Amino acid sequence: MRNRAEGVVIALIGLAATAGALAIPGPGRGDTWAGFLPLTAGLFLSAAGLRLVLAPIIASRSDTRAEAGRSQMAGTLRVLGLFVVALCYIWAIGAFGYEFPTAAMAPFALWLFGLRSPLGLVASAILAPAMLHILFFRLLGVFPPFPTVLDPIRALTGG
Amino acid sequence: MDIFPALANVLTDPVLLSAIVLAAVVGMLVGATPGLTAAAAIAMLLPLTYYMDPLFALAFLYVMGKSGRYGGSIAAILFNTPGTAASAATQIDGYPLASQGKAGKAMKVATLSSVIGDLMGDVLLILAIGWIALVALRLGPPETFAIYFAAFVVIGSVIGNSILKGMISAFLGVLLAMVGLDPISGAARYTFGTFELAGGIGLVPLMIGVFVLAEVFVRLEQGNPAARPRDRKSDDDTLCWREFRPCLPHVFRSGAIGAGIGVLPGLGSAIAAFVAYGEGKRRASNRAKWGHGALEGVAAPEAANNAVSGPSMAPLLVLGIPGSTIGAILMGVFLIHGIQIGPTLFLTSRDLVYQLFACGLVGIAAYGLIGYFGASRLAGLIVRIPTGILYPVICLTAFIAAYSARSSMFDVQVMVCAGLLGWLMRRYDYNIAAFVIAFVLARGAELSFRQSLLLSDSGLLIFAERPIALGFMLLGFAAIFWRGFSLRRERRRNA
Repeated sequence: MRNRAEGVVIALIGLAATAGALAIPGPGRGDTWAGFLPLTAGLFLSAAGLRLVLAPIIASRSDTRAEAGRSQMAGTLRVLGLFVVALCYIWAIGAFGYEFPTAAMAPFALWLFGLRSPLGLVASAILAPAMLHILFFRLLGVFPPFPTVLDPIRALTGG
Repeated sequence: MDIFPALANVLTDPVLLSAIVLAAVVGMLVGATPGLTAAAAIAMLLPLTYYMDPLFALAFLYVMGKSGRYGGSIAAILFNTPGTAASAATQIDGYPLASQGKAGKAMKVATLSSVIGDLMGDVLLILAIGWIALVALRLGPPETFAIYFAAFVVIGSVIGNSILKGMISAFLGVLLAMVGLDPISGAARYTFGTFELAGGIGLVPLMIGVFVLAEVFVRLEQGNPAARPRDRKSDDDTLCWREFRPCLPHVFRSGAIGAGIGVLPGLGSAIAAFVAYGEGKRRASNRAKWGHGALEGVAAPEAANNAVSGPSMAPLLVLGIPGSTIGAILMGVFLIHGIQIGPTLFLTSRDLVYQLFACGLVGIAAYGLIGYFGASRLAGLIVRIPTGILYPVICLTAFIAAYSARSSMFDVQVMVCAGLLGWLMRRYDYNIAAFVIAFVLARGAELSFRQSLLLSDSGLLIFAERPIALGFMLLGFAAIFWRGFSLRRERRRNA
């Protein structure tokens, strides 16, 4: 059952890749087609996906691990939750700059991994953005992301 | 020989020496921490190398990779948790030794074996690479494509338990590499009309995602408590010559095995370690003791594991084909600094290459000394880091590391999506190493393929007309058939 689901996903990726490859314009005079390798990859993935769907389950040592993992719905939900929060964090950095979203993300990440100390969570909200800011934006000279909605630091300092 | 002046340069540069020692310590710490790998740490530090001198950056990451391979033995021996995939072989005899109060002895054997194996691999690299480069200069686009093809097939089929899933992983990497504008014709491929995708998927955020963030996701899913070491108060930390002498034949044999496997792209140190362990056990006079605390059972895999490091650089430097995941990441460093790897590297950057080798030799000495005299203290340090703090720190650092590569929030989005992809691949037993290496190789393979077609009047038959190209193509097919046959035989034996 699991292999069939994987096979369907791989086949769909392959079909989409094949369609995308066929949309690539043909070669100019004396040139080679830019879609050859994408088409090859798309066709292979389509065929491989079909193979997974039609063939018996491929024996694998990690099958038992995957079976056990599947039953750990809570773990999967935690991962998907962190993924969604990560995307929100990225949006927030783009909207409000690096520091304030990181001050919110740091205690959340610690809480997710089991830290429950209120002092530790509050300290992380201050230390994490400060230390990363100093390391990357000051010492290494990386240009910080420009906030597109509101720059809280500038708003607070009136700069 | 160029290596001696290079060694003299390195040894008289205090800044470079300090970087090598720091890299040795960081690599050991990373390798010894369960859940972290040298590849993940190198991927995360890769963006920082933008701001470094090329030799400094390469030496730092190269030595970190070497000491990270060794550092995995510390976690394997002390915590019964391999720090790297290759150190799972060390764990077999290492942890029983630690349970018998001989953890210090085991770690010293691991250190000496790693140093000797690594030296053997590096000497082979230094002696042979010039000859390999001369041969490589004679290769044209058809031969280059055939080598890429063989590498794809070997990587996809040899690593992991399923050829099909290995090849799927490799082709997913190829597909992702195709996103962006075609470098020859400028045609848009899988860009969906967006500006960001026109620039392609960045190597750095992709690697940080699949190696670092994926590991964070895996740990979050598993919810493992921090590994606690056994009580070490009664440990015997001494090692005498009488105890180490029986390990020497295993060390030299395993070093040769590791060096041979290291030259072949895609096989890696895990395969070398297990092959060496199996071969060592087969030839051992005290075979019954293996698996229950034999010092030789630690020496063999450690020597092989580290012997891979140097020779795996040969296909990377000479052909532009990374021989390991660490090699794939190091390729990124070369690209970042505009250094063209391949056969012409020895014409354009010969000094840099030999200084890098010299840094590797000094790095071996560094981690050897630190490991022999300080591994116990290092282990004590690692135990104190709670995983509940380690992984959130890694997670947050991954975001800003991915951003700092090109100051692009799009790269951070790529990193997060790659993290989810990496987690799914690990969960469903797909091969991340094949995926990453294929991603790195795809553009070069496509370029040589299309150049071959332009050169040829007979189309695809050019690969059959050129003997070397044909040889490598047949090698690729042979690798698939051999691997399929081996897997079928193994399944029949287990059934």
